[in-house]
Parts: sequence; C-alpha cells; structure tokens
Amino acid sequence: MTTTIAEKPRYTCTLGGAIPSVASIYRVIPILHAGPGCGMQLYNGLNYVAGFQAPGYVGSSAVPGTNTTEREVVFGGEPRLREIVQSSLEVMDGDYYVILTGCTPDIIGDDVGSVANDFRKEGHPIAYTLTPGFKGSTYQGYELVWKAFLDQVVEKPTERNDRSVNLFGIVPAQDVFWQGSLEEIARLLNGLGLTVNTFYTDRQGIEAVRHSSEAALNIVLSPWVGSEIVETYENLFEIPWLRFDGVPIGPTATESFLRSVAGTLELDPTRVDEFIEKENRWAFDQLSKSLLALTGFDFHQRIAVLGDANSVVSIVRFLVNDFGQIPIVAVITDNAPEDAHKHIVRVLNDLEYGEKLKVVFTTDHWEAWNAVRESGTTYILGSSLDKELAQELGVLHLSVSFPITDRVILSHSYAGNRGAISLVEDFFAPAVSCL
Amino acid sequence: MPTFKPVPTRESRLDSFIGYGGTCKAMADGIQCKCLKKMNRSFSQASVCQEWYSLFTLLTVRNSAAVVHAPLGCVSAGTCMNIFNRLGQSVRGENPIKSARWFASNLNESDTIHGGEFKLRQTVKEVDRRYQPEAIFIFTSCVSGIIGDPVADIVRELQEEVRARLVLSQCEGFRSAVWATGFDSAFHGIIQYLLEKREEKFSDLVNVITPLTVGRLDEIEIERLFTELKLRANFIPCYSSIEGLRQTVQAAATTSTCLTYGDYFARGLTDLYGVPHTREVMPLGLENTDRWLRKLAEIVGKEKETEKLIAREHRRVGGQLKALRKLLKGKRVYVSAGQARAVTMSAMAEELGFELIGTTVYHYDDVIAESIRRLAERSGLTTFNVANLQPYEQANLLARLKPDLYLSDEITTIWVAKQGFPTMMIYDYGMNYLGYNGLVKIGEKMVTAMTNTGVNRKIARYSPLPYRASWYEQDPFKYLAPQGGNE
Repeated sequence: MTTTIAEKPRYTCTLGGAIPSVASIYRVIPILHAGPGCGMQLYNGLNYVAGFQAPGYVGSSAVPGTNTTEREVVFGGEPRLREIVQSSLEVMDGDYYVILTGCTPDIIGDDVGSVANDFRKEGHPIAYTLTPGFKGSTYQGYELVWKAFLDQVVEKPTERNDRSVNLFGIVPAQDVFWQGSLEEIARLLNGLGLTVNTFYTDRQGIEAVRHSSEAALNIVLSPWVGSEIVETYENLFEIPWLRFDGVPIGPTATESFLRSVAGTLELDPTRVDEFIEKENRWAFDQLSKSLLALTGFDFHQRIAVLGDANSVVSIVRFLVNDFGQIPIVAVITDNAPEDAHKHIVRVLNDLEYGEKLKVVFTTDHWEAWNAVRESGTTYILGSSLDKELAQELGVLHLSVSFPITDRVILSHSYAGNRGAISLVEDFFAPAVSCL
Repeated sequence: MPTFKPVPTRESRLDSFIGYGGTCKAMADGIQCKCLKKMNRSFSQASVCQEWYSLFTLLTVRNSAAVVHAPLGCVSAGTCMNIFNRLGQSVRGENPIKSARWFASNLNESDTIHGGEFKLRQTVKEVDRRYQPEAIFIFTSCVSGIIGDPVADIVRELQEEVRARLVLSQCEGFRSAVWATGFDSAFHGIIQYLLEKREEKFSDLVNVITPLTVGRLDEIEIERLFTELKLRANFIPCYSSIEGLRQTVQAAATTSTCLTYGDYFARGLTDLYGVPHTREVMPLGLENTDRWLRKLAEIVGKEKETEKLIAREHRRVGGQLKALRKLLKGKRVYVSAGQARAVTMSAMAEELGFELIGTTVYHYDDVIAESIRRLAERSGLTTFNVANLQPYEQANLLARLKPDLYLSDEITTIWVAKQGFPTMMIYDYGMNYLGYNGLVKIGEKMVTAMTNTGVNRKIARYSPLPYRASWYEQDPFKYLAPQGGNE
C-alpha cells in the first residue's frame, strides 16, 4: 500500500523551507503572513533540531508576522498584512523583505501579490511568494523562494563574470551541514580561481542575489533539488548549469566534482591539476592517519544510511569509494519526486563496489525502520531519531541527516576533503566513546 | 458524557490578552478596577499557537500516540518536543529511552478543497494497527478548522473501529491568540474522552498537574515535601500512564506546579468529580512555596504538620539564603517567562536580594492577578510587559534598563545575549527550581551566571540585532493599540 501516513516526517512544509531560505541570507527579512504559531513551530521543527542552530541575523521569534486569528479568517487578512508590512519596514533593519504565506491566507483567498506590489510601487525592497504549507515540503519552499527572487529581485546582468559561479541545491537547516558544506565547496572552487555565490555564507547578502545573473555557471549540488531554479536562470540569462549528484565528499568525489566544473568552464588544466594534487595529498595523508583506527578496530561496517537523497548519496559514495565500507541499504526520506528515483538508484549503484545496494524511497518512519531492520546492518547513519532503532538492533549509530538532536552543529560539515576527514573522525566516535 | 464542543478560548473564559506595557503598579490597578484596555500589536513577530501547546501537553503520556489533522508542517516541532521527552526519561534513569510518537494526517492542496476526512481515518487506523497504543490523541489545526472537517463526528465513528481510546483536542491555532488555550484544549479532551466516575477515593493522593517544562528534579523536591506530610503525588499528564490520568478523579486534592497550565483541568476535576483544588500559581521561591503548601494543607487537613515543615525548611535553608543574598544584593534583574513562572520568579529574585527591574509575562489572565498585586506592593514602578515573545519590545526595553541578569527561556535569551547582557535560562529540565531546595539551587546558578559574562559581551560586538537604530529611540510599547482601534 502506498501510504500517505506522515509519521515523524524528516522535513517540514513549504513555509518551513521558505523561512530559512530567506532568513539565512544576511539582512534579508521574511515577513510571515501565516497562523499565530507557524513561525515558532517551524523554527523549533527545523533549525532547532538541525543540531541546535540559533538564528542568524533574523529568524526564530524575531521574524515579523501577522499571526492571523479568527478576525482574519472571517474578514480577510489583507489589512493585517498591510499593517505588518508597514510596521516591519519601520522596525526591522533589512536590505530586503520577503513576504511568505502560510496555509490560512491561501485558503481564505488573500491577494498577497497586490499588497506586496503596492509597497514595491512606493519603492520598498519587498518581494513575495506564496508558500502555503499544504503545497509541499521544505524543498519546494526553497525552490519557491528562489523563483520569487528570479522574478522580483535578480537584476539583468550588465556584464558576464566568467570566473563566478552560483551554488544551489543545499537547503539551509534542512541540510544540517548547510553552512559548513557551502563554505568547503566555496573553498575548493576558490582553489580553482573561481568566486562563489553561496548566498547563505560570509554575509553575502541580497547583493549576491541581485547580481547572480552575471555568473558563468550554476552548480546544483543535489540529485533532484533545484531544477526549476537553474532552468529559469538558463532561460532568462543564458547561464549554463551543472548538476552534481549530492555534495562531493572525500578525494574521489571532490576530484570528479572539480574536474567537471573545470571542464565546463575550460579552466587552465595545469592550475586545476596542481590544486587537485594538493587536495588529494592532504586527504590521503589524513586517511592514512586513520589506519590505526580503521585496521585496529577492523572497522568495515555494513552500513544503512537514512536521510534526504543528498546526504545519503554523498555519504554512501564516500564511505564506499574511499573508505572501504559495505553498503547494505539506503533509505531516501525526502519525498524525492518519482521521476528522480531511477536516477538516484543509478547513482547509488555506480560505486566502486560490486554488490547491488537496496534503495528504499519512503517518507514514512515505520517503513524506513522496517527496511533497516531487514537489512542486517551493523551501523546506522541517519537522523538522531534512528538512535532508538540502533539500540534495538544493537548496532552503531551516527547522526548525519535531519533531524539531529544529539549533537551541536554549527559550521561542521562532511563536504569536500576537509569534511570527509571530519566524517571519518565522527564515524569512529560511537565505537570508541565507551573507552 | 462528551459534548464534543471545543473548549472556550482563554480570551472568553479568563479575559486573557497578550499585549500590555507599563508599570507593575498600573497593571495591578488596572486589574483591580477591571479597566485594563486589551491591546493588540500593529507590529508583531512570530509566536506559538495553541496547537503547539496542546501537543506539548499530551505528547509524553505513556503508551500513547499523537495525530495532528493538518499539513505535516504542524507536527514539525514534534522532534523538538521529543528532545524534552527523551531528557525527561534520561533524568528518570530509564533505559532504553523511547521517542514519542507523532503523526500528521498530511493534508495537501487537494484535501483543502475536498476535505481531509479520509486521511484522518486512515492515519488513526494505521497508528492503532502499528503501535496498539492505549490512547491516540487527535489534534485539529487551522487548516482542518477552516475547511470545516467534522472532526468530532469522525472521531466518534472512528472509535468503533480502533482499539485505542481516542481523545480529541480541538486546538485550531487561529481560534485563540493566547497559546495557553492549548493547555485547556488538551485537558478538555482528557476530561471529555477519558475520565469517568470512580467510587473509591484515596485520601493521601494529590494530583500535581505539571507541565513538561517542569522537570523531574522539581518533582523529586515535591515528593520530598509530600513524604513529610504523608501525601502521595500523582504527577500528570507528562510521563503519566493513562491510568494515572484516570486516577485523578479519585484523589483528595489537585494542585499545579503551574496554575496557568493546570487551571482548566483542576477546575474540571472539582466541578465534575468533586476533587477540590488549590489556586496558588507556582511553588517557586520562599513565599510562594509556603503559600502553595499551606493552601494544599487546608484542603487535605494537614495545617499543623505543614506549619512545622515550613518552619523546619526555613531554618534549614536560612544560612544558605543569607550567603546568597550577600552575593546577589542590588543586582538588577529582568524576568521574562510564562505568567506563572514570571511572577513567582520575580518575587523570588527579590527574596534573593536582587533589584527587580522588569517582568514580561507571555500572556495575562486572572490566574496571576493576586501575584501582580503583591509584586506591585513591593516594587510598583518596575516595568510590566505582556508579550507573546515579541523580542523587539524586549530589545528596546533592555537597551534602556541594562539588566545585570536576564532570566528567560532559551529562545528569548538568544536575542538578549546578542545584546550583550548576561542571561540565564530558567526552563532547564535538568535543574531543580521549585521548593526550598530549588530556591537555593537557582540562587547558586544565578551567581554562576553572573560570574563570567564575557561571551555575551563579545558576541554582541559581531551580532547586531535586526532592528533599526531609530527603533531604540521610540516608545517600546509604540505598537500596542487598543483592540479594534488600529484599523
């Protein structure tokens, strides 16, 4: 039976994804036109449980909102929205403001666009997008925000910067390692001589969004998220795009990632080779340093990996290709669209390892656990929710995908070569923590 | 018998509201003359709805499951609440620690047009089949309310098809601006769907209605005091069994460690089952713990023993309090919390020698009217603020008041820390706050909180708050306007 049961879903709703997709851009301020509790429900349900991440410049209880009650439900919410946008402009110190809607205004039929447009006409930097929770998941929230940016914020390019790239596909907070991963990918691309718009790190702010149309390439780090974003960039600004299936982790994936970017942009091969060689040297120096633990504990685990397609693909690929682990089952919990399933299965079976890996697509906690129970795994890499299952099965466990409540995550990440070594360190942690 | 009617909102039942700014004395006078103007905010920030608190109330009940009839965003915070569910088991020494069970009926766009009845039925039946819980708590949401799903009827019919006892909490977020209505919605469900008359009574059993924000170490302190009085505590509803909830009708009395939370259920037990209840707000600090015990003693007929106990406890902690007062004397403190904790914590801060400079309560209802009057008698010119979070008001207030210590929850303290002020979280579930031992423990923790305050000061240099400089020059309560008067 295909089930619609949502037991302990590992993502939130459209609005849930939209809020951090806006608020994580420095000095860009979401204005919620939503029920009285959406803001805190989604902060508690997303950033809080993504390794206890406090809000940045704005977020959590500081996000302006209409907090709609019975009055708006009965008489309409536009006057309240107008009032809150006006006062937000007075109180909140932002470079841009983005109205995001919850379920209620959509069902009662508020014309949010006309409110936003009235303020835009007066010259206020305001965008809007309709993100009712019932429409989809965190990932759709992220995509809707970027489509709104493309429609309302991104400017026509005055010049093309052939050494500048944009990064997409990593959804803040939904990807618990979002910050560290964006930073490490930017570091690697900097090594090739590129400047990188991550938008969400280094206080890049709305200027980076405005001028993102000048980039030479859009890079999407995900097997399925973000297609519409980069296709729109291509249509509007003729920016080509390159999809990498997940975040590159470890020397093999990192080299393959860097080579495909370098190839697309026709970068100087000598410089590219030199940089990759330097990266590989560093990575394998560290991996060889891990040999005491790896061989000392004879640490070859039959791994079960649960989480969003991005995390699962990236982590399985590294642990199998570069670290000698045996993949048993992959459980994809992010509601990846049906037409991406085949591709994800292919990526997960395109490893330097002969046996076929079982791939399960389910958003249902119950089904996910049953798939792991049947697998014969010795090590579960998943969310902190899976700790209980690991205890039941008497196997090791590490939290690597949303939600994570058993460790604090700030700029920690598994991306690139730096991240791969962090993953190796963390991978041994549950085995040695009793010593 | 169940009437299947939703609970009245706090606004209608207790004249609750979420907006006020002024002095404590003006607030107390306004309450007394019943002439307080109810205020709304023409600028507001994100808050919490009653569905959140309804779920929060029931999620840790043993052998149960929670189903929210909503799009799945409305169960997002389940994972967050589960942190505290797991912490609670850890503090109780339980192993293995079990996660709570939370589900959404997962309403999507098409359901908002065609109705979500099928999905609710499917989810509840599946939960029953998977886990065979003793009870399934069902919660409504803005969406289920606005599209008009007849949830009470559905639940009545569904009860015939499942083994678990179904308990409905009608807690549509939009129905109340006061999130505490969610406590009432949850307890209303328990009263309507779970309780029934029992003949046998237990003269030593006291229901202690305790929110999840009051931790196990507080329960231990209350058990210690109860043991001296030869009373048994029935802590409900967190970590309680379904039987523990049903047993409430057999108790000699009901009290609450937070009357904001327990008010509706305590009244219900009195009105429907004749179990009397106390109305003291929280046993936090010397005076409020004394009061809390005395009121209970009156009901269960233990006045003499209680007076002896109180005298003994005062003697026991007297020396430690004296030492703490020396260290804390004259420090300026601001308290921000749920109304019961905020007013008792404010009183306690004064007992510890602090100068109280302000109090923010997350909402107001008459549960704390007396406490405010007492606060105003002692320090009437302090700031009094009613705000369902609204950190922009706090930022403005604190820039003027410059506290030596700010006490609040972990969401609010973040913003205050970024402003550079020393902060202390007062919802630490691994801490004892209540009773006489709690008083000493908090005092010690306050000293620690002010011992090394460098981190907040340094963070503040690089973490501007998201408000315009001009905002700090304006009246912090500028956006409060009488209800209905701002459109």
